[in-house]
Amino acid sequence: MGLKTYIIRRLLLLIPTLIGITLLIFAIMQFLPVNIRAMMYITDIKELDDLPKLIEEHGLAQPVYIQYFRWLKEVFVDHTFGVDRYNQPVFEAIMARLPASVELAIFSIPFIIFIGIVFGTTAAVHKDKAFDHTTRLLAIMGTSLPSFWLGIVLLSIFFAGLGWFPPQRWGSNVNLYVSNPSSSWKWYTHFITIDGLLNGRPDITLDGLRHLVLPVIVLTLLNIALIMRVMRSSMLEALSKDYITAAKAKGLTKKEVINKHARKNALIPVVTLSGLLAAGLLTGVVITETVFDLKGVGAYAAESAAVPDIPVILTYALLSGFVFVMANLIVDLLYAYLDPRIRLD
Amino acid sequence: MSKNLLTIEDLILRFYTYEGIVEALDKVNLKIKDGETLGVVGETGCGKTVTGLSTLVLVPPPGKIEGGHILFDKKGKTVDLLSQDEAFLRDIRGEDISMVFQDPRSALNPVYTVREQISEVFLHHRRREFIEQVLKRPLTGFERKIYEKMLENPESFTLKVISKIPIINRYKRKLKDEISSEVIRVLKEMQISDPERVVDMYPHELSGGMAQRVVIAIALACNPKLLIADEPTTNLDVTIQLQILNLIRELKRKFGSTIEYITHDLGVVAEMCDRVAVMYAGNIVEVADVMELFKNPLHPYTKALLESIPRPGKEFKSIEGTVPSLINPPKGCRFHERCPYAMEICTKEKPVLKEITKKHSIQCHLY
Amino acid sequence: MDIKSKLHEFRLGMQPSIDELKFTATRIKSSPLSIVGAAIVIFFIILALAASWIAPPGHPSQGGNPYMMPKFGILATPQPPGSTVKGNYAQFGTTAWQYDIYYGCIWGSRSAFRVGILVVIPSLLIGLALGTLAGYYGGYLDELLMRFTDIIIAFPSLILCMAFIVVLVPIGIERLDAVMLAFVIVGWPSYARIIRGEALRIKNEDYIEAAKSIGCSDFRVMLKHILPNSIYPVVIMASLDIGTIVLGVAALTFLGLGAPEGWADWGQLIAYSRNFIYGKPTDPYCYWYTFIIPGLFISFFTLGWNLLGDAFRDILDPTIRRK
Repeated sequence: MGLKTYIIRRLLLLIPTLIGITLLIFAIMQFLPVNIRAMMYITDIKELDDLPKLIEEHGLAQPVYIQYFRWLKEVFVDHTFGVDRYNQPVFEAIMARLPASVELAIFSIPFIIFIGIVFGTTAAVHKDKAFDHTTRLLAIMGTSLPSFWLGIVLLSIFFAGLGWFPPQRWGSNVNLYVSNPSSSWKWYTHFITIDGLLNGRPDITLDGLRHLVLPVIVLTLLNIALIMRVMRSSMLEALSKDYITAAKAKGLTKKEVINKHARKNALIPVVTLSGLLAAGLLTGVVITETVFDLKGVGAYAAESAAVPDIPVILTYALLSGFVFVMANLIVDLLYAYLDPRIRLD
Repeated sequence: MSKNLLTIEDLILRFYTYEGIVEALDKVNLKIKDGETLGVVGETGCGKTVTGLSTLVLVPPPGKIEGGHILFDKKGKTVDLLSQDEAFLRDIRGEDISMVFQDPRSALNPVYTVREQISEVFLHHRRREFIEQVLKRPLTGFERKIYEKMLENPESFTLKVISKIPIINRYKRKLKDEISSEVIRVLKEMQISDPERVVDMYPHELSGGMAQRVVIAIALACNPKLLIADEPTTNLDVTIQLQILNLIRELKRKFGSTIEYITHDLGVVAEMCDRVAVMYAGNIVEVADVMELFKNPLHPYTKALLESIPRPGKEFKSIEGTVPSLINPPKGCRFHERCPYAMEICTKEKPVLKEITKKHSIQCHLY
Repeated sequence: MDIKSKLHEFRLGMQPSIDELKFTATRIKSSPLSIVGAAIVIFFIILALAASWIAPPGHPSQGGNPYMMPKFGILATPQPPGSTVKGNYAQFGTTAWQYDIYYGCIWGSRSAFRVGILVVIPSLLIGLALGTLAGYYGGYLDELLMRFTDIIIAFPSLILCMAFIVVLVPIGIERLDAVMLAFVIVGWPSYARIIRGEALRIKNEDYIEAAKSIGCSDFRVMLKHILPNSIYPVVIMASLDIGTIVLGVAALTFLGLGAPEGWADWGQLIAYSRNFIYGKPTDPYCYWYTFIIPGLFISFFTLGWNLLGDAFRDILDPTIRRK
């Protein structure tokens, strides 16, 4: 079957999965007694005395299926599901903090994917030699170190000790400027690095980049492990195939064989992995954001979970699930594009 | 007397594995005459495939060639392939010596089309000729300059950069189109009736027979002097087998290639080959003209092989024992443990390949 | 006589298994990393078992619960290793609020094992059971399982865990238990998927048909044939998981979501160090021991299990055993 048919089939499969996610979150929510669920809508402390009114207003005593559709409407259409502890509607609160997470992700993803692929390929080509063992060690360390600990240690050395790379998104003097509504600063994309240039202030962009160094290092170290390992084993598998010998028999150079023949086959599982990884990073990295005090969605979710601020967590889980399912879809489509054998299915 | 196109002298090949050192090839000697079809027969594991791979110096690790010479006649000059550098060997592979593999669908890269895989051979070995042909066609000024540059300085940095830029590198299409028409011509030679359709298919979409034709097309694209066919029909249905055998015969007639035909099927040998070499446990034990071998087999192993072919009405006869492990091969003649004529000297000293008549050589203490 | 020959036959029958085990042993010996991993894990096992002797509980501040860290004082500022606080000797120093780092680290290994085992084993069992059933019977059961696990796996695990925790705690479950329960709920689908894949692969093998044709019940087939052959990837996953789970719980504890205040847990110790990681303006590294020491404990613990799991993968995976 062609690529088109496969795409259509995959898109159709998307819908039940998305519905499934909403059902799961809704089901989790139903675990809570009615009163607690009513409290999610409180904007004023006085309303605590009159919970039945809230229950009535939001239909929390109605049959489950009615509640479900009502809840769906609240979340997606009206954006009125839940108010967080700062009395901001949850949806807006999350959207406001999204740029911080996305910016971090955008700077980390290329490093992770590039280093992962290059190191993994080289490790496979030089199997069992020094490079291979070193990268293996690096990978194992990456997965063994607690992310929060790595962040702390780096901050201790590079911020407290050397003063090179500070936490948070920008410095305090920059903050005076960009957070002041009456200054000439304009937020275009809400990415400090891009907006710095757009506002004609490259020094602010540089400041933003300086603040990104440590979190990007942490994320890279933690995540290259998986990509390196998958790339390596996938490359080793490809190199052991008959078509590699056949390609050599055609007279191609070693480089051509590795790059043209082996790598295209080996990249396929890595692409899948990278897509999921990117999705994970885009939905916010809870720990890294907390340690470096980057006010992103991940940190927000973390604080909310500690309170606990239930509507925030549930909405966040819902949105993350969606992002992941979309990422899965894109990855599957990419996979079908790269590997013609899949389209048969 | 025709010359020897390929001479393998005392080839020693070892595999270094976890379980020990496998003495895969033990001083193998083989001569292939220009224009003939030599069959190499033997059971699975006797070393026939690695002999073929060794000729291309393509033995995968943990295998290592550790002795001997492989003399190839390249345009009148004899070279020892084992002492050449990679660049020279790459030149020879695909151009002078080619290989057809056993499992066609795994010999083709699953993510590239038939067109791309056949074009690759041309792109590598006949690049200049095709560029010159492109230059004969109507081109824009820009394209003409680029192609002339490709002729005069193919390694130039500018070329490398330009070839990576998305829209500008469309100039490559002219070359690809030129090669495509050649690819289709080659597929027609393979007796494929609708090459335009096949050319854009992926390997998994091809039937076994079709895939094998593509593999043969790749091998013969540049008209090599020597074609090493490693069990090309073993994985195919019997009806297709016959088609492919006929195809190979026809192509040989047309192109005049020398063929080293590796197989375990004595019937195919009888059909296709002029001479036969029998291999056992890493040694060539007997070499003879086809008719001579079938009429008058001399080596005990060959005799047993021929007798074990099942025939209606005859009792089943198989060879006693099993092929020895090559990690610690038996001393002396490797067949002595299963040989009904074994003598004392067979357990101590390895026999040497001796020429009994012009048409018949044998490696056995009986002679 | 009869017994002797039966024994002899038994030995002959077992010979291939014995040879395989011997081969496995040589493979283990040839991989230095696996030995290191095993050594580290054994070290922590000993540490956890001997906790009561190496770091005896009994300090009044613990309130009778040995899993609580003793509090040697009331000051917020950590004291360096080797100091004595109100008559109590702190080998590794004290962290914020004078919790004893030494005690915390030693008993932290017990916490870690407790958490790891209490999470991995139920996940494994549930995953094994459901995965085998789904893979073996196929059909609707299989589809159902796949969709269900699809949804759970679709979420980033930490976030889904938080969602469960946030809901389980208000209904009265102890926080640490809620954390472990959440991890089990989020964890079993991965095991189920792997087993299901293996079961699917194996049930089509000839020996399964052979077993059924001589009358083996489905249950027996699953138990004796499918399970032993599909267990390898699960073992690998489980040993890698123990490290991951402990890291995850530590991360949640660091965020304030896991172990309760004062619990002897490595993540908790690092959480206590948060206000002191910058040290003093004149001496930025002066409180290094509050986070470096517990961090090393947790890193090595995870490292050991990762090495072991990695080694298991190289050793047990039948396709790469003999490379």
